[in-house]
Amino acid sequence: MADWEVIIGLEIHAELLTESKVFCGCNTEFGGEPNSQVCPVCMGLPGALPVLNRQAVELAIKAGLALNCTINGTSQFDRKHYFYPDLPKAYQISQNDRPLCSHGMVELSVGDRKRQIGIQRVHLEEEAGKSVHVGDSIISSEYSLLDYNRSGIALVEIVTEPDIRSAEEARLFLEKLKTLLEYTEVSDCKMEEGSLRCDANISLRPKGSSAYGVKTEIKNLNSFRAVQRALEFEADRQRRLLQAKEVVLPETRHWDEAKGMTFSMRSKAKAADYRYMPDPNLYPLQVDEAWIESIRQNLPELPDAKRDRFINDYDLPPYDADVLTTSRHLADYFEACVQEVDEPKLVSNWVMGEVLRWLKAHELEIESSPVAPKELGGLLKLIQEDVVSTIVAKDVLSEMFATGKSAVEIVDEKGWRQISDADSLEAIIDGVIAENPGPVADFQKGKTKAIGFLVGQVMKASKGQANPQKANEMLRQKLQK
Amino acid sequence: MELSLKEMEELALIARLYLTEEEKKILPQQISSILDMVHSLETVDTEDVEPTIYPITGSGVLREDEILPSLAVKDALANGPDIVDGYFRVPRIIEEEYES
Ligand SMILES: [Zn+2]
Repeated sequence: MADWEVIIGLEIHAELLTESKVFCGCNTEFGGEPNSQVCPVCMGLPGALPVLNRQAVELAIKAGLALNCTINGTSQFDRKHYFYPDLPKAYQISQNDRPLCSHGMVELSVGDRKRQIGIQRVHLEEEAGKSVHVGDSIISSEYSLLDYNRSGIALVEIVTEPDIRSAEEARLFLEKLKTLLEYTEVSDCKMEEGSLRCDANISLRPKGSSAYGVKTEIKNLNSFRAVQRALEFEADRQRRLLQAKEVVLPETRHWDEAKGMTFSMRSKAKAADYRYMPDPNLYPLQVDEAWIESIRQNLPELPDAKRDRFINDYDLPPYDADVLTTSRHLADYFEACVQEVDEPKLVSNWVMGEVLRWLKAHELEIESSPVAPKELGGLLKLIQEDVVSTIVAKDVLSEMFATGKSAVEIVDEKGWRQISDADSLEAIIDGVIAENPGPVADFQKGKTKAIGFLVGQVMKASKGQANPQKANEMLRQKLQK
Repeated sequence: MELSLKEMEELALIARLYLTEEEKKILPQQISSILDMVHSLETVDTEDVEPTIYPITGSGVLREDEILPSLAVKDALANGPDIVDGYFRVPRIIEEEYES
C-alpha cells in the first residue's frame, strides 16, 4: 500500500493596525454603531475615488520584511469582481499580477528539525463589510443585515508555497506568523474579532512523487486548533479515498467545529471568475529603496533573534527562551522584571509558572497583568533576601493578583515574614527538642535522617514561617554539642 | 468564431446582466466581432516590449493615516431602500450550500 505525503498551503488574511481605512479616512476602530464609520469611498458610491493610506503600505512592507520577502519597487492594484452584499462596489481592490511583496520564507522548528516554509506573496487589499444573519443560522434566516464599518479596512493577504507537510506544521507556522505580525505591530491578530483569518489547501501524493494531487480548500477555520484538527481530518479523508482507489474532488469544504468534520460546499454558481483588471483609479504603487531601508532599520528585534539573545545574555535554557519570546509583551515583561531582580532564571521560572498560570485562569493577557513587572520583582527580592520562602511567596503572589497590593505590604499585613532571626528560632527549636527525645536520640546515634523529621516539627510549630535552612543548621549545631 | 448561446448566458450570469431573447440573439455576433478585432493585437511582435501596467506615467499620491469625518449614519443610510436598526437589510444570500 502506498505511503502518502501531505501537501498543505495556507492563505492568511490579517487586518493592518492603521487608524484609518486603506483608501479613505474612515475610522477603523472595532465595535462602532452600525454604518457609523462609512463614507462614499468605502460604500462604493458612484464617483468616489480611492487614495492609498501610506501607513497601510508601510505595515505591509514591514510584514514582507519580517517574512523575508522581496519588496517590489512597483506593484499594482487590481479589481477582483464578485457580487455579494458585503462588497458594495461589486469588486474588491486587491493586488493580483504584481503584489507588493513576494518570495519570502519563514523558518520553523518542528521538534528538533528546522523547516523552511516559502512565502509566495504578501499583498495589500481591502476588507469587506459584515453581514449579520437574522434568525438562528444563515440557512433559516430570511434576511441579512449589512454593516459597512469594516468595509475598506486595510488587509494583507499572505500566501504560502505548498511547503507545509503536516497539520501540526500548519499550526506551528500560524503561531510563528502571528508572533511575527504582533512583534512588528502589523496586526493584532485577534482571530475572535476576525482580524486574522486562515484558509487551507490540502492534497496528498504518493511518497516520492513530484506531481501534486487534487487539492481541496478548507474554510471556516476559526482558531489555530481548528486549523490543525480540520487538516488532520481532511488528510485522513483523502487518504481513505485514495487507498480505496476513489477520487478526491477539487472543491471547497467547510469545517464544522462541533462535528469535527469537513463538508463539501456545493456552489450554485459556476466556478468563480473574478475578471481581474488593473484598477484605473489607482496608479501603480512605487516604493523606493530608501523607504524600504528605513522600515528595515526600524524593525524591532524579531522573535528568533530575541530568543538567541535570551539564551546568550541571560543564560536561559532554550525552552524558557522559546516560551518567553512567543509574545513581545511577555518578553518585555520578563526583561523589565530582570531589571529589578538580577537572577534571570528565578524570574523566568516565576513568569512562565505562577504568572502565566494565573493569567490563563483569568483569561488575561500579560500586557494587562494586575501585577506589574516591578511588583513581581519586589516579591522575588523577598525570596532572595530570605524574607519569605518559595512556598509562602506563591500565596503572596495570589494575594497580589487579588488585591493589587505590593508584596511587602501583604507579607507585613499577614505576618508572613519568615523567621530567620536566631532568637525566635532558638525558642521554637528548644521546644521541639524537648518534645521529641526519641528522634533526638536517633540523630545523636548517627541516624542523620532524623534531622528531617525535626525540621518538619520546627516548620509545624512555626506555622510554616521558620526558615528551613536556618532551622536545619541550628538544630545540627545544638544536637552535635 | 462565434460565441455559443450557452457561453453567452454564462457571461451574462457572472456579470449579472439580464438579457432579453432578442439580445441573446444579437449579442453573440457583436461580442465575437469585438473579440476578433482585439485578437488582431496578437499579430504584433511584443517580444522586447515591457508590459504596460498603467496608461500614463507618474506615481500615485499617498495620504497620511489620519481619521477623517465619516458620513452621519442617517446620510449613510439615506439611499437604502430597506433599513432596519441602522443596518441595510437585504434578502438572504446563500451562495453556497453544503452537504456531506
Ligand atoms: Zn470610508
